[in-house]
Amino acid sequence: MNDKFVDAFKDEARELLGELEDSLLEMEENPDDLGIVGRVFRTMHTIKGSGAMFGFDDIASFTHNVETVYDLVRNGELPVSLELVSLSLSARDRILAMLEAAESGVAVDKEANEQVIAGFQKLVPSGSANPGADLQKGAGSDSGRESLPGREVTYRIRFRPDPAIFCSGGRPLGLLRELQELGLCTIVGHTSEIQPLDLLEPEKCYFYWDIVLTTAQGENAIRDVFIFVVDDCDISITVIDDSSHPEEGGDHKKVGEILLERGDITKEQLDTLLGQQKRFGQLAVEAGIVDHDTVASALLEQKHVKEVRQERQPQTQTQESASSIRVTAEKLDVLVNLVGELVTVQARLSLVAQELRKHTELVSVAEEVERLTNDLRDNAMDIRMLPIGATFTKFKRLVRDLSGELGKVIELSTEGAETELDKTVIEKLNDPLVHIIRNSIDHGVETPADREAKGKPRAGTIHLSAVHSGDSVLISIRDDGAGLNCDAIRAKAVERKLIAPGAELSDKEIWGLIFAPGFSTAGKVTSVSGRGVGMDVVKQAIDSLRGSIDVQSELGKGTTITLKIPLTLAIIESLLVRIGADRFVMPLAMVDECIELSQTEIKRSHGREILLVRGQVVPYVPLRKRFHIEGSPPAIQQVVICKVDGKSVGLLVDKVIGEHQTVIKSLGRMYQQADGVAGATILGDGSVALILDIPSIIQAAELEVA
Amino acid sequence: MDESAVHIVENPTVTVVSINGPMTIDRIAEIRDGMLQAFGLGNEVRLSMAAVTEVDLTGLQLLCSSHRTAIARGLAFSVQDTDAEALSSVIELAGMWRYNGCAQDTAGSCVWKREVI
Repeated sequence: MNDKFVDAFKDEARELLGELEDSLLEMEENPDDLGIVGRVFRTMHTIKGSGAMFGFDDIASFTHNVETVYDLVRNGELPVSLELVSLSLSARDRILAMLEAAESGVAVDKEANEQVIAGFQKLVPSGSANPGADLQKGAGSDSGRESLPGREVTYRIRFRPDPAIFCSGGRPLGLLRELQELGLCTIVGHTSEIQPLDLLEPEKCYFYWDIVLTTAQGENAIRDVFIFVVDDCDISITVIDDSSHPEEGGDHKKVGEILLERGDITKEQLDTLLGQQKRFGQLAVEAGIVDHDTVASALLEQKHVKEVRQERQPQTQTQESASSIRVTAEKLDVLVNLVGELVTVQARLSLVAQELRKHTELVSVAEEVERLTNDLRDNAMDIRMLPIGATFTKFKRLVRDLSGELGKVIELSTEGAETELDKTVIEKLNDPLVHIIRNSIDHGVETPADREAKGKPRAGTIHLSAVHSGDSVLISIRDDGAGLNCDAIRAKAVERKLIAPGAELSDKEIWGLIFAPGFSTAGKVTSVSGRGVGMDVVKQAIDSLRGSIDVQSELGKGTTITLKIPLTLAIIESLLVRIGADRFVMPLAMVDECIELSQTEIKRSHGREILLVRGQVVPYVPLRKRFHIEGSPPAIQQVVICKVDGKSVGLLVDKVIGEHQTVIKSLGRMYQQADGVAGATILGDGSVALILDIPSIIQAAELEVA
Repeated sequence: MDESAVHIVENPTVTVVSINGPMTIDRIAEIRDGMLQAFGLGNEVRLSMAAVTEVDLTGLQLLCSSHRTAIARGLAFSVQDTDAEALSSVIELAGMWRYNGCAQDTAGSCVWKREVI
């Protein structure tokens, strides 16, 4: 099974199963929406079809049974019930299990499969098609005339009925109507053979038609329309445009060419007339070769094809842009690493070019490289961005299963599923989010009885939302449960010796205690949470993402946990500063402004580390002192004013060098615990600069003052 | 109003013809005779379709034929009240609407002429 098509199928199937889960949960919420049922059916159908094609016969036949039931649902013969959704979810899990079994070689639990199928069969009312019997037909026995999606072909049809067609009961109008139903249709009836009244045989058919039809149904569908009249009538069908050959331009053939193709004129006639500088159609009519109708019909064909192609143009483009190739995540990581290296080298190049300013050639090349590198960086980063929606979807299942297990009724709503984050960030976010949601389900939202007693709606809600905020994403998990009980947390913290018994703490500080290692207030250990691992793991994970956690809670009303996560972990825009001979990097997103600080100003504040910015008092942290850097500061130093948690705090440095593209490198294991440092980067000249962890520096300084 | 399919009112300069009921194959011979009779009066013919309940291809064919008869005889001919859904949908389906009339239609009086198709 090393075939790469088989691998592609597995990838595709996994994706489909993900979509299926999503659709099923959506179906549970909107049981009357037949659109969703149709989607479920189609997904099942695709899994079945491609499964059979790649030799996964077990998946194909299993899915076929499920699909059969969904066919009934789709036709309104079977209602969408909770049982159906649950069974379908188990069916989805069984398909995944079969897929994984094929990979690992472990035998599939056949009994479980049969149970699910039996469950489905019970749902089918007697009298409906029996899925068991249907199984005999095997996979892939779909009706023959399935449309080829996306491949629209334009046909030219000339339909010349038998003159006696009316008397023999034929109804050409009915045929035209059927053609119209096949797709976009331009019909021109030719009247040229109609005689004046005295010569007219009124029951005879003098009409013939040119029809231009754009359809995805295929030529056989057109022939089917004429099936009963084909022996008596002249019918010619020609393909004149095919959407699978989009390279053909927007304009269709010239009128002359169309007429020639239709056999309305000869090549000689065409050539003779083309020599003259006039519209061809007009000439042909004047020359008496063809009549007005014939030219009009050709013109309408031109118009029809042009419209079809115009319609297709944007569609083809979106199809192209939507088409994707599958690349392993490792390859992307390698790409981003290489881009990171390139950004570093480019910075060195720019530096060298600066020093050798005389070589204007070098400077311009360096500038060009810088521009390209920036584009490359942005693009590479963009490739790794994924919407967070897929993660949200997983939680729907989690909430559904867990709340059921705990006898709670919880609705999960989500918002901002389209918000994009770096792939690695999303991956690392999964576990912390699971912990937070589990906690909300287990400790936060009360049982339906408790809720009713408190006058709350029976069903609790958990709301997940993601929204961009600068270079970060705010992800909040809001529940309307019991809220955090400050007294209980305090008691537990004292018991665990996390705080002194009489410590004076604000609510916020108490809430912060839930992130302390080994902290759990749940009286009993449930399978869901309460083992004392959880929130501290969340804190660590979010810290490692350079993110922050904010807790808001109101007793009895609910809790909101907001995670602030940087968009990407790889490269950040930053501000490069110098203290003594060392250089440091600050994430630009936190920096508000830079101002100078002279010795006189320092003296004016009498040793207190504050300065006045437009009338506002702003405290600052002298980094030289903080990092014990020897030597004396310059006469005029600079303060970088940062915004942290809504407060402005300055960081005093010797000199602000300027903006810098920082490729983040993590510190070695030995330095992981270094306070105030979040990582390191390599500068253009090859030296290392530390990335400052501004919130922790400020926090440490605040603690010292306090 | 009589039971016949064609009702002809002769005015000094204009002959007004109204067709009643279906304008379909089983009555088309009768309607053709009626139209011939109207043109035989030698005046301009105005055909009202207001009372037509149904039309088929023979009916459309007859309109074209009447127009050609008018041209051949040098008489003015016009068709009125074709807007009813029952008529216009058939005219549309049969692909009759035109920018320009047929070769005989030198005066531009084609029954099927429309500004926009």
